[in-house]
Amino acid sequence: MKKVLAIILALVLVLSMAACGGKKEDEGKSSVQQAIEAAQKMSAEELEAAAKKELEENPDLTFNADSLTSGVNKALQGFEKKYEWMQGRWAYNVKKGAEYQTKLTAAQKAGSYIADFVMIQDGSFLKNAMIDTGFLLSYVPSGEGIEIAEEDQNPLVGVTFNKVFMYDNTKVGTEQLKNVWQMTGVDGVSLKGLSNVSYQSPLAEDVNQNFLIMLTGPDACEKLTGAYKSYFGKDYDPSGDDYENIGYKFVAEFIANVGHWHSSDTSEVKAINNYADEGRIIFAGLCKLKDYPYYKSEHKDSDLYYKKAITAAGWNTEVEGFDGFVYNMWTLIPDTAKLPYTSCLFIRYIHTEEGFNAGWGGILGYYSSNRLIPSVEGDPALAEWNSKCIVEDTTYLDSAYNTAAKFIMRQMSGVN
Amino acid sequence: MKNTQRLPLGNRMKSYFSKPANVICVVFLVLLILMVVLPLFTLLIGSLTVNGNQEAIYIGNGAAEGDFTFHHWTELLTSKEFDYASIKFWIPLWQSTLMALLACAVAVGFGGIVAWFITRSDLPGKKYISTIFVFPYIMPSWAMAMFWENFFKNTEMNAGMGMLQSVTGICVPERIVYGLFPCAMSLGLHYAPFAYILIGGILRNMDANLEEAATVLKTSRFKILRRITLPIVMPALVSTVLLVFSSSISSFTVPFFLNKSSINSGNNFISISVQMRSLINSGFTKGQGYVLAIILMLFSIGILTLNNWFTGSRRSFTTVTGKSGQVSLVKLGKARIIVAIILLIVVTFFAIMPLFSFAMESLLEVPGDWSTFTLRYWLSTEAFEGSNKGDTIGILRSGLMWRAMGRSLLLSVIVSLVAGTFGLLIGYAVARKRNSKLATTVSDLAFLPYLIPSMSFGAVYLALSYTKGFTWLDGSFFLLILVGSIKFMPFASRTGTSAMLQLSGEIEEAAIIIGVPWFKRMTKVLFPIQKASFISGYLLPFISCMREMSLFVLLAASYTTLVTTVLQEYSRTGLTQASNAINLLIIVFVLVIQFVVNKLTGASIDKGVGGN
Repeated sequence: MKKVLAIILALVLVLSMAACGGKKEDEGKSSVQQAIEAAQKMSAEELEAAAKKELEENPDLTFNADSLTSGVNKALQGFEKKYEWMQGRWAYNVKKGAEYQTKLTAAQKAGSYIADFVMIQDGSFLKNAMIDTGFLLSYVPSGEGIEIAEEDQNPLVGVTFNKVFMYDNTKVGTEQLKNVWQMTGVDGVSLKGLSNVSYQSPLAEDVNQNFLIMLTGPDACEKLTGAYKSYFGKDYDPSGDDYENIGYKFVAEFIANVGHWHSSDTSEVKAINNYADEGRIIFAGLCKLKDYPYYKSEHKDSDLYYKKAITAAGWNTEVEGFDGFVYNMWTLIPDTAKLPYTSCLFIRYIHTEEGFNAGWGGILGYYSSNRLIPSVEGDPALAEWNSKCIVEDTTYLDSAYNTAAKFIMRQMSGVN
Repeated sequence: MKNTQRLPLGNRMKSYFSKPANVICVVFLVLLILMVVLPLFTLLIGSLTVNGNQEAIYIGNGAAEGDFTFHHWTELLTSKEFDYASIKFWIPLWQSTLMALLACAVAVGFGGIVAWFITRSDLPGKKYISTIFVFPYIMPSWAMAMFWENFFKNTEMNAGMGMLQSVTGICVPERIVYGLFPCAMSLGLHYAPFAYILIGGILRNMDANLEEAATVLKTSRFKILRRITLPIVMPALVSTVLLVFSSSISSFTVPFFLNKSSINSGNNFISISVQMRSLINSGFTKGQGYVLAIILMLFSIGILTLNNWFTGSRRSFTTVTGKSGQVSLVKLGKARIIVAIILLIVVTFFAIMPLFSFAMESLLEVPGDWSTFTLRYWLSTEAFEGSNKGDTIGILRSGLMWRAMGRSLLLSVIVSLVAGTFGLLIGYAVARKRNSKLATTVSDLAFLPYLIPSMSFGAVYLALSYTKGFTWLDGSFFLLILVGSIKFMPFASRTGTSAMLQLSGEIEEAAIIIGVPWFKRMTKVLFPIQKASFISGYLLPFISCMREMSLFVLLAASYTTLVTTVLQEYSRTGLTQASNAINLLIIVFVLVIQFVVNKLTGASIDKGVGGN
């Protein structure tokens, strides 16, 4: 029996070591890094020539783009129209968050090819598992019509998203939610507490988990302190409870007050006008309004579709405290990419107004990191959202995760 | 025996391997160590090392990726910070155990009772009941949960109007709609057909002489049930409990879907599987997720040991002796019609209504709003919003969907053939070498894939496909076949073992005496006798493979590869009508396949039980 066990263990050890694969030695720059550096110095025309040459020299290769957002697929179609030599040479692969992270990690550990272009969210995973290990690389496009802030360059932000508190205007009116402390359910001096908040469980949605963790950070605490005074007519007194700061207090009371934990933002927003008199206040991506088929069919011949949708599903951009959460999706090139110049050209394309509009244009809740591309009509500019929302901060998330995630879990369990 | 020991090693080996059961045991031992033990050890290693930089940050104290650590175990099982261990692990484990036990009770109770009425009584309408009773198992488990919510939700809990309220005006309490109870009911109803198939298969083949002898001796009906019927169906009963418990406790979608109550309502129920998924999915706590997966497996292994105690001891479960095929039906008398009506209503309700619900969801733009009735998600040639390359058109006109359906069908057929045959062979070897440790080990190893969470199982093979020397596996169809065959083999090995254990050794011995070779014995003697049970061993992997999502999502080359990955993508992008339509199509396809199998072979899942 012992012999059998020893053989099994030895076998497993050998296979495990094989599965770990060999780590890339630091012997200078990889071919992809060199290509990115070269592309960085090229004009748009030179980059196009390099990408075209690369594809022509590799007739069997397909440009693979992995992403969570279908905007990449639409952008690829625009890319193909603009560069006809790309015709039929690309593939878009839908990759969901946590599952795709597993694939990326496996590819990073094995040093294997996974795609030529990757667009992902979750800043902490990106930094710790992909950037720090040197597996995902940034190409920063520049030139006429492109202006990217330095803090968005490495890693390169592709598209920024927001999640806000939405509700059915026709039932509750725009004035329902005016101060975030209403969502703790407690009545203020002049405003009533609200108990009809619908939130997707942080156990299933990383973005919602990150939002709650960010609420315990310094920026959120400052915003919450101001809103607290306005709502209750007095300063927050930390000695009155055991919370580490006002952010933890808000998170605890907010979670306890959530009336409904929905399983899908998309489905919840679609059903926004299906609920009882007071409706629901739904925390979801503003971009989800693009999938409002009822309004689209009503107004499909009109350019006013999105405005109509806004009329139905409203939100207040003047909520005391904060309006919602802002987070990024980054556009990167794996160190094992086979068509790096094409990757650079595509990244450049989606950071131009033409490329961004091909993928995400005309839809609420999508914002380019190219500051020269405006948000859609009726949607505030990203800078305004940044000032009014809680913004994802990877450094704070990493430092607070252990304590804040446990705290959130305790509140979720209902154990006092 | 003494002479055998004196033989040279070569001759002893020749003698050993001249018995087919020995060859099967050895081949499968090697295969299963490679295919099953490795993933298990990978989980174990993951639970004892720092899995990446995020985990190192979480652990602190200078931890680095790859370091050996017990932190995942101590943190999850003992941490008192914010009551972490009890909230993240102990309370969910306790509640999920309750949920799984309740689901077992519902599945075994409902499925077992229906199986008894179908096989052992003169109930009218058997064919109809038997045919539709398996529908809930063909659907994905969350389909029943979705139906449950759609039926019971009401405006009193601000959840919109459900079917019950719209028809009767009745608003049930929130705890009926969300929380532990509806999770257990949904899972129990989903797995009831499983109990029906396993228990019914044995009841059908049971020699009626035993019961009749007892009746002649004026034994009470209850005593016959307790002392004859129950002991005979015990292996199937324990197998059912094992499978239902393991499936229920690790079910993610149902508890996730039916946990929508506010925290203060007292109905909030976070299952251990939801906790496991959130731990594994977070880069900070992956190791803790592996710990949880291992503990859940140990839980199920405990039941597996119980199962072995029943089947491995000296008890005999032989019911097919070749001497009698006589079946006499219990006469229900006046209760016959009443029981039939009750069963017809209950079975129709849980089998047909979810399908109806799917159909309705695929035909309405806004759920519940009949003014938004449309056929476009089935028939439109125009692309839907958010679509690309024109692939999100009405599903009946979508080449992408049909190609994916074709691949799913091909995969499921191959997987069911491989898994079913493996299961049959393992069943044969286990039955013929019942007291051998080797056979028991092979039997246990063959069941282990069922206990490994699909996501983890897929992740191990994904890592393998990225390893040098194995990269040809990456995104290949062969990888899907390989993983599917191993993952779904437990269904076949359980049914194969149960069926073989029922067969008396005398039947094969008779064939051996007259010189019938092994292959011919299997195909011409053993298989035909237990055909119904063996066909179940092929059909169960087929059904499971057709609707499997999480196992293949990591391994499929793209979302267009299989019909379930297309379904998931449509659901994720908000095209729920299209995803519901695909769900309905999958169920219809499985039913068609079952019908074809029935026509070609004369056997089917429900017929194996006794629907004819």
